[in-house]
Amino acid sequence: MDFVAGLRCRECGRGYPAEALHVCDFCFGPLEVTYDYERIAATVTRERIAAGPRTIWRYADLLPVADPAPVDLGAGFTPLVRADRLAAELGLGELWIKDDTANPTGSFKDRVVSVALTKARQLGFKVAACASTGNLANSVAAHAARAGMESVVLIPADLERAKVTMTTVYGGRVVAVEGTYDDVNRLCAELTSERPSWAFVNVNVRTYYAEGSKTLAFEVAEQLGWQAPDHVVVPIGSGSQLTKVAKGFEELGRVGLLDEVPSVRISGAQAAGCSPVATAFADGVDAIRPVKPATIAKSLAIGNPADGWYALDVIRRTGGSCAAVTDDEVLEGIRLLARTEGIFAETAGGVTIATLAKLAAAGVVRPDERVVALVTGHGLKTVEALTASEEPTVTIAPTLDAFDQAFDQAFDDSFAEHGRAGTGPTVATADPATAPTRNPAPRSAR
Amino acid sequence: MTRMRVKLTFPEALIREPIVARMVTELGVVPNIRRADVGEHTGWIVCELGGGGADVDRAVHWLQAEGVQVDLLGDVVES
Ligand SMILES: Cc1ncc(COP(=O)(O)O)c(C=O)c1O
Ligand SMILES: [Zn+2]
Repeated sequence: MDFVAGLRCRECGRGYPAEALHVCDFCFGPLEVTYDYERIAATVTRERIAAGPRTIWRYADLLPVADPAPVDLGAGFTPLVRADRLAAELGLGELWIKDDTANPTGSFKDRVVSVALTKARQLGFKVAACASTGNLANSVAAHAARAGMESVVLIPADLERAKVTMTTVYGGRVVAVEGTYDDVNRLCAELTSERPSWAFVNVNVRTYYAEGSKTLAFEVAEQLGWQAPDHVVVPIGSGSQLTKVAKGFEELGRVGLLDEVPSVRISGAQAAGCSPVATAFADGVDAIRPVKPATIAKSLAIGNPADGWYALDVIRRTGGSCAAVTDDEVLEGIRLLARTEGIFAETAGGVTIATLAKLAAAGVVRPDERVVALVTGHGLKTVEALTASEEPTVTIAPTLDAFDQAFDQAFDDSFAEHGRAGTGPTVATADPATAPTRNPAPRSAR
Repeated sequence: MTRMRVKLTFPEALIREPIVARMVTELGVVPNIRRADVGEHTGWIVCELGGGGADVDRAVHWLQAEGVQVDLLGDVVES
């Protein structure tokens, strides 16, 4: 059984039952899921969560749908990695990376889609659909395949190759639309009224879908030993994820899973080529002015963000900040994270790391804070953003001589101590009595 | 009679233009305004456009051609 109290309009506060609704009848504002927090507080414990699956569904009590067999590929419970080398480069103290590249289809969207399709199936929708900047398409197609549902995804026609392949391979129908994501989104809004059996996860099921992002906050807190961080940096596309990360921390405090009501600063990251929220923040205004996106961070290229105003509100309310970074900085962010921590992120991750660097340099993200950066998508999805500049260090003939020559000429100085004269690990001499005997294969047997 | 729920977003250049008034007088489509925020640089109106089915469609195309962004909110209600 779930603990949902109902839906509530985010604008006028009117209440609705938890049905297939997404806008308020009265003022057309977006609806939000509300819960019976007293009952949750009386039920949920750290132990109950720890006994659950190692997926987002361990937090089912705080999700908008209860189903013993959810639409599940194992989303969530991704690594939270202490990033000391990156922290040192950025002049920060305690820094953690929430590595959501480790999700089943390589992005945080698996969290929201698993929730959305579980609820959509319960509500009786037959087809899974979405408007997507790529990652959502991958996840909807994969989860629909898992659930035995048909899927139809609409994407802007200029998406990265891998994001198209990662949708069609699951049997999803991909409709490439000549236009921006905002055009695709508008078309989907029109389609929802024409196709009542289709669940557009981020349009007519958005109210439920969005709740899945709260699990990022739940996991971070649990992985930190049921403590909230001081500051979280979140990339902004539509702004949904950022608002729900804040809601997640608030709920943990409210139901007593944290020792104290947390106060977490939430900062937003955008690409300069599509930065309506960062611009409004910098200008100190409330109105989000829509833009026409032009950035390599295609997953964040939403010029008219549905939750932009709410994201801005969270940022201001929590004492966070919001900044935008250039495409070159995005690429440098991707490289920096990969080089220092061994995590290869897509362009959205580059936006987050570059923004973190910028906010750290400005003293907004501080060295005395426990900081978490959300790295939300895998680098292989946007590999073409880098390929033009990433070549092998050197290409050689398959001989030792060629290698030595290349070593001398093409490896930089930091490698000098690792030349042929360098010392390797000490190797204990094997005790002949215990060493396994190895019979060399007779040459003739080849 | 069709009622279409929309958010109209006006670019800066159109904020001081009587676009909505022209829609009423020239196209015969009436907005039932539910929420709005009009500032110096941007403005939006959330409303329901009411009129004959073909008139509402024509009004949406006309608004778009004038440079207004029209986003659909929820279902189109025919009655
Ligand atoms: C990898 C990645 N990160 C972040 C986002 C932004 O999420 P939201 O639209 O909820 O702001 C998206 C998609 O929009 C994404 O694909
Ligand atoms: Zn309302």
